Amino acid sequence: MAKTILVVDDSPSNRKMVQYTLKSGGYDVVEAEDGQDGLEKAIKQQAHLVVTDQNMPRMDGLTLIKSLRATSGYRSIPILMLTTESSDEMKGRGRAAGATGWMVKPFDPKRLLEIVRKVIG
Amino acid sequence: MQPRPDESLSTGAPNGAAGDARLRAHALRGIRRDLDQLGSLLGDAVGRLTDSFDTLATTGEAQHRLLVAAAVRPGTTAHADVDALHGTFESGIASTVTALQFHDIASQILAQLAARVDVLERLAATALDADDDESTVGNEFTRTPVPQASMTAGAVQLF
Repeated sequence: MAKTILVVDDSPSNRKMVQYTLKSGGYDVVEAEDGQDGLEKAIKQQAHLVVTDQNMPRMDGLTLIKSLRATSGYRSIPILMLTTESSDEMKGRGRAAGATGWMVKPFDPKRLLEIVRKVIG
Repeated sequence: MQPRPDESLSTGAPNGAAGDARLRAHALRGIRRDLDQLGSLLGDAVGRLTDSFDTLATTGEAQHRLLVAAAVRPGTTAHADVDALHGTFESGIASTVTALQFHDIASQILAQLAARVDVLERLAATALDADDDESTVGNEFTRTPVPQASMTAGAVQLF
């Protein structure tokens, strides 16, 4: 059975690209359009991995990570930040919030799949 | 990417503060129109590119299946040729995937530029002294929507 990855990004084109890449790697994908939507969908369906953007309306990526880490079923689930943010300060905040890794946009599809396979197999 | 300074705002106006304000307001209206147009053009371009992407993905997969089927029959295309074709195709898709992400990045830059324009519009409207508002202006640009020196695009760091 394919593992499920929750992709959270307010950019429809970006969600599409991430979804295509992950599906081509054999994963099931659930999409969410912002952090709030992502949190609701994460609670509704347990994901094996969460890939989230940072800058989004309603709830940003860091807040989503903190919320997920406080949610049963997501305390040890890998969470990757996929964002245009790349400063050390932001990465530090991501790590402190509980992010598993940080990937800077634009991503390379092969590299994304490599990282996903590394963290969830 | 750092926003370029608007030269039209730095040319000294001969009509004093009120003249400066009118000049800035005029220039800013033009910037606003340009931003709106750029956003519209970018959205349209990405929409078309996405459609092309869908078509390419669908036909590419079908073509791959057909070529594989042909390759297993004697005298038809060899597996190596089929794999090479598919490899080329996948490379093209990967390139498209990367290229399409610039819509997201450009959108963030546009949003940041719009925020700058909002600030300058308020300055022009109220004819406030720019020095008094510098701290307010600075606070509007705390986000870094494009890659900085610490990590390059596509870079990955696992904690």
